[in-house]
Amino acid sequence: MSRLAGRLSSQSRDRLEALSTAPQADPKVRESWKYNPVNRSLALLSDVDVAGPSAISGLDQRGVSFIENVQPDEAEIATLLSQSVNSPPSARALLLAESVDRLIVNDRLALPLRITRTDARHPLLITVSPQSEVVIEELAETSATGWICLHVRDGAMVSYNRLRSERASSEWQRLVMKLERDARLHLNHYATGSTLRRLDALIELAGAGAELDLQSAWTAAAREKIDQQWHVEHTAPQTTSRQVHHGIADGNATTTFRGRIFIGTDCRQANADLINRNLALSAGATCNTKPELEIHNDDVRCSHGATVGQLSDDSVFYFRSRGVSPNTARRLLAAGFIRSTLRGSLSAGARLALTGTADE
Amino acid sequence: MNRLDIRDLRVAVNGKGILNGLSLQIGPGEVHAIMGPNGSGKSTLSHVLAGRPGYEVTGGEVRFRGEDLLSMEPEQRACKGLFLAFQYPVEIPGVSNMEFLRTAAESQAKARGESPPTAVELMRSLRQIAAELHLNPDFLKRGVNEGFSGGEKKRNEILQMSFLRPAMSILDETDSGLDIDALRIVGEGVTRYIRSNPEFSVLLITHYQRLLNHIVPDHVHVLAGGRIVESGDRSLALRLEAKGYAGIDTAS
Repeated sequence: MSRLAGRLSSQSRDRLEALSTAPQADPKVRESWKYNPVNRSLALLSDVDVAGPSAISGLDQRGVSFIENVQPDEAEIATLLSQSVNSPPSARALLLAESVDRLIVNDRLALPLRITRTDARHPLLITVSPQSEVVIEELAETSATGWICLHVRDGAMVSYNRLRSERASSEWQRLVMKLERDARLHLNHYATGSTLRRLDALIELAGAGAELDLQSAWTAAAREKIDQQWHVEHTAPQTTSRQVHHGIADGNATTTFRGRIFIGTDCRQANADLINRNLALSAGATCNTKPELEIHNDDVRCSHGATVGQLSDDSVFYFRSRGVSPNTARRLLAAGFIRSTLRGSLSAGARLALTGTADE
Repeated sequence: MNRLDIRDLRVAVNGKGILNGLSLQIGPGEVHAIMGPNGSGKSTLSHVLAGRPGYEVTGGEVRFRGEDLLSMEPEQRACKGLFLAFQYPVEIPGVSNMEFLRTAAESQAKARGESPPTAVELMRSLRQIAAELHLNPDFLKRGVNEGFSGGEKKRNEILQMSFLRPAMSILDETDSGLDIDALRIVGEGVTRYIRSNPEFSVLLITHYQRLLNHIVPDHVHVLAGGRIVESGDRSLALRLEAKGYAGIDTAS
């Protein structure tokens, strides 16, 4: 662990430490979810500067502009961040960014933007202008440790498919997303385990009528670890969020899920649903899950739940009664559990990475 | 040789005897119906024959096509040609009917040393059977039984049977939860399979007589107290329907 830490450039390490600890403004903020200690996670990270510049296809369409390595507009960054005091420290650490890559969508794009690499050295800031529409696919080929910020402006629609399937290395990723009035985001998030894969996501529904659909799934095997911290904040009235998270832990893997929903005082008629279902396929597997609700007014409709279970004997028997071996039955049932959350256009390779089977 | 030969079968669940010396012989091409009141052991019989875990066989033996059935794993029984149509078919979200059936067909072909059906054969066969059972072929892409009505689930069981071409089927209360139209479609589906497979045997487990209007049995047995207490032809089912199980001697 220390060997890897030693390979971090001093600049990266400073930045990561800034992320891992609270900003100076609030030194008391600590990780409130204990299963993967921050310092140990940091030590596991491999060299974050390896990844190099971003690789994005689909940029040649009308209505797209991409500018690399520019100074961030502090006011803009500040607007991206939730005003909630409960924002995760890693999101607020965005303020420390020295430069960003800027991707701006100004139209209804016919073709998807496909991101295969983000620059690990600074955030990728995606702004989708009012009434614009875009499909974004992030199918990373390397395990870059990076930030992605997505600003969905009034009435814009974004479908975002994200797959993290590099199993060999470690990463710590941050997503900061903000939805303005009547904006819609359909986020499909799929990840495999790795040495350590950590995600901090903050999604704020900041304008009336904003809607979030989030489907996510993950599979971890052997001694892999995956740790996902999803924060969904409703800070405007009549906002809706629907989340379904399905996770599988096999072997001696450890999965950690924290799904926090915050609804502010002025957010009347907010709707928020979250369900996290976990399958522990082996005796050595560990699933940690913690759904949280924090609601500051009484005119809302919320539900949240979490389960950790095993494959149902009845389902396995149903397969066996048709001549299928128990091992094949379990493999297909596990793939089906993940696949039942899959939406949108995942490539065959992506499906294979996630479910062990490329079938529709 | 009998297709299914059950001799003095005794089965317990959690130490309590459910089947208490049941004997039954079913020959090739025969349709047998087992009727009985609730709690008589009907579903236990179907589960034990299919190999569902959780049942303790305390005595007797079962031979299927001359082989010891009870020593086989559930998947081996299926590959030998035994099919159970479930009373409560399981929903499997995320695994399509197509994938489920293809995996089953491939597993069974492999176990029998046959070559698996090609994708084209598979599709052709399934489309035809689906049409016969009034199932929209789109259902093949949907999750197994996911969001299906009770009637659709039962039709799907018959579709699986017709597709996998077993030598013998156990229909476990296939009529439960069916409306009149669905009952007719299911009955016709089974009858069609019987007619096109003269050697095919059926053990039909039911509470009511009504399915027997569609699938005509050669023999009717009454199960009570874990044993067969009366056997006869189809008229026995009609008599039970008229008079109920009250007149049946359930003493073991």
